[in-house]
Amino acid sequence: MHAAPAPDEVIRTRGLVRSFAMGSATVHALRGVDLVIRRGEYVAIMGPSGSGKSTLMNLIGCLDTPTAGEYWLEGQPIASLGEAELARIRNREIGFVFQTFNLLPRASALRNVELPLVYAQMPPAERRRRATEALQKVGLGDRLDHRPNELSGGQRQRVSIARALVTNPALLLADEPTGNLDSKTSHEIMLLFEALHREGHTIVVVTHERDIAEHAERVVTIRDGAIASDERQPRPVRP
Amino acid sequence: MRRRLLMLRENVVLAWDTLVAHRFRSFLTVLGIFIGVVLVVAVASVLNGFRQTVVDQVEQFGTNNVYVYRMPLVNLGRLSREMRLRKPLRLEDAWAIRDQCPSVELVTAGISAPGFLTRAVHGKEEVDSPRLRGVFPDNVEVANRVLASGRFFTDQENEHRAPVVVLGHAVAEALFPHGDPVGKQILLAGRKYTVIGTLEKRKEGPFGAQNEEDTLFLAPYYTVRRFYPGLEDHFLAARARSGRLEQAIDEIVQVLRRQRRVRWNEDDNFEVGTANTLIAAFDDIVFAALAVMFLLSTVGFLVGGVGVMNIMLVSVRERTREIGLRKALGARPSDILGQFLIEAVVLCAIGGGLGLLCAEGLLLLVGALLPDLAAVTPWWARGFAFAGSAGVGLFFGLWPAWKAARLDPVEALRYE
Repeated sequence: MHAAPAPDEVIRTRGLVRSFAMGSATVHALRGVDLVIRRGEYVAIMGPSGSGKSTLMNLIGCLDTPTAGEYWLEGQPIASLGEAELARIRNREIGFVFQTFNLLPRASALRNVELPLVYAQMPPAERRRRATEALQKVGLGDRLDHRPNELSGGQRQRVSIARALVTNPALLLADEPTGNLDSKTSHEIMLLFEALHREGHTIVVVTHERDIAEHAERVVTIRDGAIASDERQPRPVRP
Repeated sequence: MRRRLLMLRENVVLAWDTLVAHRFRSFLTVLGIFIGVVLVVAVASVLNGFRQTVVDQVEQFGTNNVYVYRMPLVNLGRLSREMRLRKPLRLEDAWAIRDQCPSVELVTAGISAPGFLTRAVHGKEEVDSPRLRGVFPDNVEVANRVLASGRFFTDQENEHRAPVVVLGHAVAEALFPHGDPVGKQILLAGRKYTVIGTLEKRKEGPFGAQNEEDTLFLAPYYTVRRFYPGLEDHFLAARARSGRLEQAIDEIVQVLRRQRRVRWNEDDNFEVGTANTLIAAFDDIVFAALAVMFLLSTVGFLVGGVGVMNIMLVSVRERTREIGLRKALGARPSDILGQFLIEAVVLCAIGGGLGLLCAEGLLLLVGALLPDLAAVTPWWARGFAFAGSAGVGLFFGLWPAWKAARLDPVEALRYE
């Protein structure tokens, strides 16, 4: 059967393979992954380091292209796209949240959140309005002009979430979003993700921490470059 | 187009922020370009001022004049055999021009007496190697001379070979430091002359050099002929009727070719010049000097450019993670390329701009200390210096910017 992705599928991969040449040897980071994520799902991708989960995240995030296999994002085939088209897809369809926040240190919170809109070539006034809205949504409406070093770790991650949301992407892709936060702040961030999930956002969180993954409604475990398990949790844990 | 401008503005602001954040490093980087710009503007200004004084001097004679010489006035290198063997210009040639050239209003001729090893004396004052010219009364008009005191000689004095002389400004000052020279007698190469007038000072040459016209002794033509019967080489000067300079030149050339029996297939064996051709001849010299300066400044720009390339490579390396982030957020390779290219251009343009300011300040200072230098900054020097520095940024920023644009987003985001 030739897989034409269904309309409610945000992500569909088929036989996704990614190999790296390490000197004369070839390392197979992914050995054929088939994964479907539907609109509005909250999925955690789990696995120990070296399992291939980062490679999978890079492919899903259109930062990298597969060695073999196919990938549709919002129904568009991705595997054969060039760099400029991938950049456009990343800009419009994906919101990244990084472990280390990756905020520009000399720019204000507002300016950081505006950044994706700059590359969407949006006029400055519109940009400012939407970035302000996004910051208000994550509870930082009163911190627009603060620089990252004037914000706490949790606030910085909120700025980065606002930046991920500001383009209204199809997919929110978070890579160890709580890795650099204490447990209390981590909890707040996970509550924010749950709230976004309830609003209908499609969220993929990549993590190696069990209790973070348990916030999601579905947990995909990667081991040795393949999906080891794919479980639905009856309902998100609400401590 | 609007979107491109938006992106450009974004990148210029970004570049400015980055440069301000690294003020000192940025300044050191563009020091070479800064110095190159200062040099270009300063040297070009001095040369231009130099040229302007020459232009003023030449144009003081009148822009409607045609000069005829046996040899070229400005000649780089040795005279050719043909030039050395040219026959002299005669007085009859001047009369032929007067009679046969309808576009010529006035024509005058003159001869130069040899001044070598002679002196002009009045009392205890002396002038060595005086430059005595025998001219016709209408020389005053053709050469735009203005009398400071006394009068010029008349046709009668010329016909009767009267021993009278009109002094240039500098020699009048030298021979008569106190009091009016008019009516006094001087001894010129052993012969007595009565001073009947003095001339106004002419414009100074480059670097305040004395204008040769100020060192002349002007005596009636036939007087000089009487004392120096062997002189035969004349210089001719004609004033064209208003707006008919080109026709006048053509007519003079035709008359002189006939007078001097130049065959139809031979080149002119005389030189015709106007204020413009004199300036053009001088411009050849200015241009050669400018070419040397441009060569030197190019070396400065190249050295500065390598520094810019180096610092941009460092900048790209330092900001690898930022580049990865920007790519993740949707920056295309061309966006990254533009960002770093514009940063390099802005860096160099600021260096060049500071250089321009510094050069202006320097010239103001020099102008206050040495007013004779008369430096005038030509607009093209500013343009060249500024465009040159921005061009250096564009050229030497290209490779670092290209490296930044080619970075792999995954690797760049992982870079520590």
